[in-house]
Amino acid sequence: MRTRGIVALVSSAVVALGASLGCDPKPAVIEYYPLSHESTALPAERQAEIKSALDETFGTPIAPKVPENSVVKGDRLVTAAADYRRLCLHCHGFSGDGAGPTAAFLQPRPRDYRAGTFKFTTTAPGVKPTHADLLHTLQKGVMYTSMPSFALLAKETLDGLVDYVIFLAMRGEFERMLVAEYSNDPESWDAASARESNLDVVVSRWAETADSVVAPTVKPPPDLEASIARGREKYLDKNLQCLSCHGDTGRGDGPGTDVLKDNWGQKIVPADLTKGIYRGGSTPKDLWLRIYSGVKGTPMPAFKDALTPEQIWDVVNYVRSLARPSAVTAE
Amino acid sequence: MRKIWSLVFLTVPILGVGLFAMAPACGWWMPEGTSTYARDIDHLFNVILGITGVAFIATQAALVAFLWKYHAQGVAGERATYTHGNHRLEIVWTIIPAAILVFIAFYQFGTWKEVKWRSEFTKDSPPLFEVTAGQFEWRFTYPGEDGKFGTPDDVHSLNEFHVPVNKKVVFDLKTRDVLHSFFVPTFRIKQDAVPGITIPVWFQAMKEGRFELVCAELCGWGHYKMRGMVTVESEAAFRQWLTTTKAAEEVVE
Repeated sequence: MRTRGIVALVSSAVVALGASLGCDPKPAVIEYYPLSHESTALPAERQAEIKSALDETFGTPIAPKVPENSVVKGDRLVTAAADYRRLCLHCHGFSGDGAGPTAAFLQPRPRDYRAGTFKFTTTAPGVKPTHADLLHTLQKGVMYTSMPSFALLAKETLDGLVDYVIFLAMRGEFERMLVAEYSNDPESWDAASARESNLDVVVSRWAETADSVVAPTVKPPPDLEASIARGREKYLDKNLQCLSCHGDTGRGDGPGTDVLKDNWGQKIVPADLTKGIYRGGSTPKDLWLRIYSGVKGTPMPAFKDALTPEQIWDVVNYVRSLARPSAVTAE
Repeated sequence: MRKIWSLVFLTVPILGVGLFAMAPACGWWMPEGTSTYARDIDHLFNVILGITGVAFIATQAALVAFLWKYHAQGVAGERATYTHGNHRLEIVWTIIPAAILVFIAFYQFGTWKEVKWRSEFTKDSPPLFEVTAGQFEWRFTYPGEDGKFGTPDDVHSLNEFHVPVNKKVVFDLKTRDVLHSFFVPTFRIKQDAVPGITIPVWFQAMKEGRFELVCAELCGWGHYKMRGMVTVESEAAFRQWLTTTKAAEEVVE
């Protein structure tokens, strides 16, 4: 009888101790960023060269770093990396590949930063987003997708996260460019020179955004109803082809649109304009920018050369009227 | 085992009561109630806490007492006493809890009616805003000057809402996908948002400040971070906020 009591006491103590040890709130941190899919298809020696080029230039998850002349300053990256792992990693993935554990359940998928393309920007077509553009996405979220608003976090935290996202994008692009250069011409590939030339390209692309910021050069026209009527004509204009994707009634059901894909290889559908859901932001300026510069990485083209700034305002007004039919007859 | 081991079971009520007693001093208690009906709701909470507390201590004490008193002697061949049941005892311990529950049902009725019956609070009180819960955010819409929802002068806000202090506020609660629950702890408001239904809710805030809104019905993987903030301020500041928010939405350059 006594031994049974002692055994019971000792085993419950062991269980309690084990349970308390298991409650360690710090998750395991991977020491190195994993190589991308494309990198792991290369021969082992090239993989090792690429990995060391990446680690030397961009550091490790615990100690990330950036080249000195890059648009991201390295001093807040360590804190930002920890914030990213806590807040963003589960969707956007450890290396920003958009393939975190929850990503598979989401539609649309989280952004894969490694292509360096971001949909909602204030910059001209083909140009990277500015820091303010990415901050805007963090503050507003992406409407009615799984990307929430993080506006309740401190501004410092948000700025750090933007820096870290740009860091992951630069790192991802750099890796892709190294792999692409090798695949193009395996014979004459030299790790050191490839590293230098590609790094310069990546860093300068991100640094050049300030010169390419776009904004409406004119104010919207004063007569709303006439503007909507003009916008409708442009929408129906066969040369502009709005109808072919967004459909006769703006529901995003144009012919052949069920097979469209975005640059990340995911199925994408044209926006249903009757819903009033504007993922990149719902201010008139946001809509103007989407039409002017297009939505980067998707089949939505830039209309900056096909429409004047005034005509874009007309289309914006028409698009907004589709979402709120009562607005057309107001006053 | 010696009967002293039955006292181990005393640790549960002692810890339970002890923690409860120290909780407010450690800040582990409800936040300050800043709405007009917060006091009534807290009063009901305390009444029920008192009743259940007494029942808890009584049943735990009885449990330990029986463990002690009827502890097995450890004699070989010892048999437990067989009892047939006690009819009178069973009636007593059914009637008393039932009576307590009926008492609670009637006692809380006035507060329930005041807080939840829409016929009581929606008369002559159009909604100040409507909130649409969705995975994992709160979208607020104020009707603007024309007082109608769905028109161009509506003011939209994401996760943040403002209300004037010392004024009855009625709002409509909706959800665009699954069940959520609109929970502002300091106002003592909690109302489930049900798909397909628009539910009116009211409160009157008595204190200016900034308070937290959280989701209180598990709605998916982001439920834990479905937060918002409410700012209670003067009427003038509230109007100013509406104007500023509207202007930020209508940016054209």
